[in-house]
Amino acid sequence: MANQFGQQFENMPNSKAVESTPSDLATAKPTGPQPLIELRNIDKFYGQTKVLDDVSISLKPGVTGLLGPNGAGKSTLIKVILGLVRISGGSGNVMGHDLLSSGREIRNLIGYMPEDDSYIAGMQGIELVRYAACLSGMTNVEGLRRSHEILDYCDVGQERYRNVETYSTGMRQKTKVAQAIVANPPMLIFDEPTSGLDPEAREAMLNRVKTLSVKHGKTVIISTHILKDVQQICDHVIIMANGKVKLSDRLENVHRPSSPNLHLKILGDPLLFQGNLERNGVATLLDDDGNLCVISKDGVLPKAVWTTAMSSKVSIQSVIPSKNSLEAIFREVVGDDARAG
Amino acid sequence: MPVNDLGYRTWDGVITSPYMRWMTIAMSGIRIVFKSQWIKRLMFLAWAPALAVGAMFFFYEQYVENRDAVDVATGRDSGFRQVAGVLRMFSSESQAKIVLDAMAKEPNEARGYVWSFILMRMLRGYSGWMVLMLVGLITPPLISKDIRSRAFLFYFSKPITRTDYLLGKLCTVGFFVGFVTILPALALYLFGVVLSPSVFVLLSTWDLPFRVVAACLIVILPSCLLGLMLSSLTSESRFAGFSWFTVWILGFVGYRIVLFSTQLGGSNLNIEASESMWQAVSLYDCLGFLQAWIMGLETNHSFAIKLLVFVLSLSAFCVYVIMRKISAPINA
Repeated sequence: MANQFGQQFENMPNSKAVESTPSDLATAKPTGPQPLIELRNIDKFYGQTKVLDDVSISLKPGVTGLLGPNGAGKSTLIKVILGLVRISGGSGNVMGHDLLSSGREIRNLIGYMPEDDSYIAGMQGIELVRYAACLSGMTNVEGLRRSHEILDYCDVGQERYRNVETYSTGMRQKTKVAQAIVANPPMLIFDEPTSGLDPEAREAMLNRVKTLSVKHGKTVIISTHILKDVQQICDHVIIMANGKVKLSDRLENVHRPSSPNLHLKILGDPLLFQGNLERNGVATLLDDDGNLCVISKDGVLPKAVWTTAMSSKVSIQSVIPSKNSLEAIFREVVGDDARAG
Repeated sequence: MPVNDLGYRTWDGVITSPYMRWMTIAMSGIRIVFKSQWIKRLMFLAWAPALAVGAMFFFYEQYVENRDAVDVATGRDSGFRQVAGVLRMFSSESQAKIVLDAMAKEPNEARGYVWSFILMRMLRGYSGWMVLMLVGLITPPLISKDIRSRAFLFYFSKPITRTDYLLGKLCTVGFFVGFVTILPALALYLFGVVLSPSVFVLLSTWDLPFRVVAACLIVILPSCLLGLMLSSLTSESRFAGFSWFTVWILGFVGYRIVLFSTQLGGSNLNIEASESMWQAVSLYDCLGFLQAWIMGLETNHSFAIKLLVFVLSLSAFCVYVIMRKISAPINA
């Protein structure tokens, strides 16, 4: 049955199978040498309050996590990227369009899922998604066809025929995602996409986001408070505090510790083994969980560890390079700022 | 996973012009408003008076065609006095005078004025109240519901501007109001043409359809903008509805109190008050005067221009407030 449906859709002019090449717009930009979003020294004042302070970011394709405590300026930064608020200083471009003069063109290329419930009262789910499609430039008929397709993808069943006011939180999240992706924009901004979802729905949502990025070449920005979500699907992380970008780097670089320590999982007496290692000149630490950590400058386990393990009658079950936890980095970055503030 | 879920599929169809997105907002608004049974009933009822007013065309054309027989039967002065009495009953002294002067010269030549007068009765007597009711029912939730459901981010994250949004909302209510004002009036005009003895009446009345459209727009535009402004000031549509009717009713009553007090005060002050800026207190009277001026039934041009400036300023103020209010949630 599924194949029959697939066959039907493949024959339609505006539909492409999952395996097919993504739209020109979606692929041309990410592979280009220029970053998709380039912001330079952006300032934004609301009255006397400076909500963005000299923000400069350069965003490349992939999934980017935007982190920060409440009031850090994440939502304002998103609005700046969407061209919704006028910046007080600085410059930038989004996918080749100037931030100051091309708001409409920029929003043509970005699908945005707001954090707050944002719907049109009196509309059914299907009507809302079709409305979003039509506002993005689709015709009524094509918008309706595409809306059904996207609501199927977002796992919204017959509930699509109910008024959006009656939806549960999870259903609203799915509908918000659907309205953001219905027009096939090359860039997506999701504000708290997993907020209020049960574990299963959260996992499905994250998989959806990852699929859109990996299989369909979408550039995705996720603004969230849930660090685990960022760790799970993001390639790049931006941490903001007090309107400033405190950290912007690839997630793998963020995780990399300043000294490449190695965590050992052993079978035997850890205290005895640690004492023997110290006597043989190998620097070690014992963490709160009783795991042994070998301090290594080059990331390679010294030969003395193996010989000491043999002599101590200890078996080494695994050697895992230690990683900086995102939570620790987040606390450090935000905490520094709070202390400075 | 639903059996028809084919996964995410890209789409690269043809995009419509970005400058026509307001139509999408308007069409969607119209669909939602049409769900109300009350609106459907009102729309239906709005056409009923047109039939009654249409009878006036019939009687006038009958009178023009058979006036010799009528004059013989009733005496010219007697028939004319009856017409004058009817005109004075339904309009102001100045408007009746213009029509009667024209009729006194030659009833056939006066057709333009008489038709204007009949159409004006339609616009003032029925459509004016219908506009009041329809705008009062349709506009209150148009923006206030968007404020309550925080729909602005939904709208403005799409490639549309605040102007598109306002235009879309304006056209939503404009569609319904136009349906009960412009269309019946134009239909009446066509009815008059059909009833007239020859198609040459088009030569003497060709400007009436344009005047009708302009006279309707002069009411529709400020009324709808005022309604939308009141809607943008609150997230509770009932407050917006209440404010709408209050503005009109208080203005109407207030202006009549001014007229009454000037009548009590002395001889001809009634005329002074009716053509003073006090008229701006009552939107009903103010817009009515402008409609009569556009239809050629008022000749005080300088006063009409003053009122026109007032109405346009009011409309501009409404646009300014609406723009501010719909920007506020985005800038928050």
